[in-house]
Amino acid sequence: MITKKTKTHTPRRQRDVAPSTPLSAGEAPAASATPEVPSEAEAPVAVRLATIDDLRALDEETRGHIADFVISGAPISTLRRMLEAEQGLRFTEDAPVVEFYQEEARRRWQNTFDTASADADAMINVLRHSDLDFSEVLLKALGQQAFRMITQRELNTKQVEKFTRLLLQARGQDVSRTRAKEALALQREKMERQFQSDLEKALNALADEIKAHPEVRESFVFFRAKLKEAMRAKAKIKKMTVQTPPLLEETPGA
Amino acid sequence: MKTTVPILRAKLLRALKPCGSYWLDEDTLHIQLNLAHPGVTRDELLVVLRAWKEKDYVDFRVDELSGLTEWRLTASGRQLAERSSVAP
Repeated sequence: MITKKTKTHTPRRQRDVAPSTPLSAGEAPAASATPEVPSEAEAPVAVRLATIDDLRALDEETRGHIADFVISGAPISTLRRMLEAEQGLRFTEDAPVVEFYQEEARRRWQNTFDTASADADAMINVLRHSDLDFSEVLLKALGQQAFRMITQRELNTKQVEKFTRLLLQARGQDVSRTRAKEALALQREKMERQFQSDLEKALNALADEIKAHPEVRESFVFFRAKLKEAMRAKAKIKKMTVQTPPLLEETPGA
Repeated sequence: MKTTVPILRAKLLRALKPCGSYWLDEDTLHIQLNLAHPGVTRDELLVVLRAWKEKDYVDFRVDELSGLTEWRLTASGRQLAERSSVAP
């Protein structure tokens, strides 16, 4: 389908041309013998011999549909039949349609080429203004790569947007992972400080109890000193080797 | 129809101007020049590019990853394009 018009069944006799009177350009076919008045949706398309100028005069959307139709691989003969059915344009040979398609494809490509640098700049701007950290060197390289892919027909405008979203997503995941690690490290540190603080409090409470029972004081003092030594040693070991907890280790493919 | 040098220069400006500060590889540039009217050979293109390189209208580099030779207009080249009113 080239246009958005509803494809209606047109009685064949209304489109056939009498063999002895070939159509000249612009001449409408003979009226049907049936007197019924067709509804708006069923009005037959008047067919006339067409030239390439008729195709050039079509609206932008229809021209685009024609180009897409050929790009999809459909034969020119099929396109000619559809042009006749939907636009009322009859071509006696393929050449004008092929020439039109070539012009249209060149025009569309030229538009893409002319806007390639603007598309790459737009992508860089989106990345630059995101919350993620992209260096200027990286932005320049990404912009050049996007420009290269557009001009080498590996990427069109819609795909540039998708490319940008994917970049942001990947970068965001990297940043999230780093931030998650840092947050967990801080939390671990806080918990250890809290543990030490709680432990000290418990020991001090115990000391108060022991004051009330002097006979066990000596044992308690020894025990507290040993415990503090162990805590200091543990802190020293922790500072020497910073290890990532098992939960934060990279999983394959992440 | 053989492309004359002035026409080739105009087509070259027309092709490089919209690229701005981005580098355009030589293969794509050659295709672009032959898009509507084939006739520009690679040798003819290189002759003009080298002459312009000497006049500092264009610059080139070889991309490390792809190995492609890439070209772009210098500031002088962009001024030349503006003066020539080569509209994209």
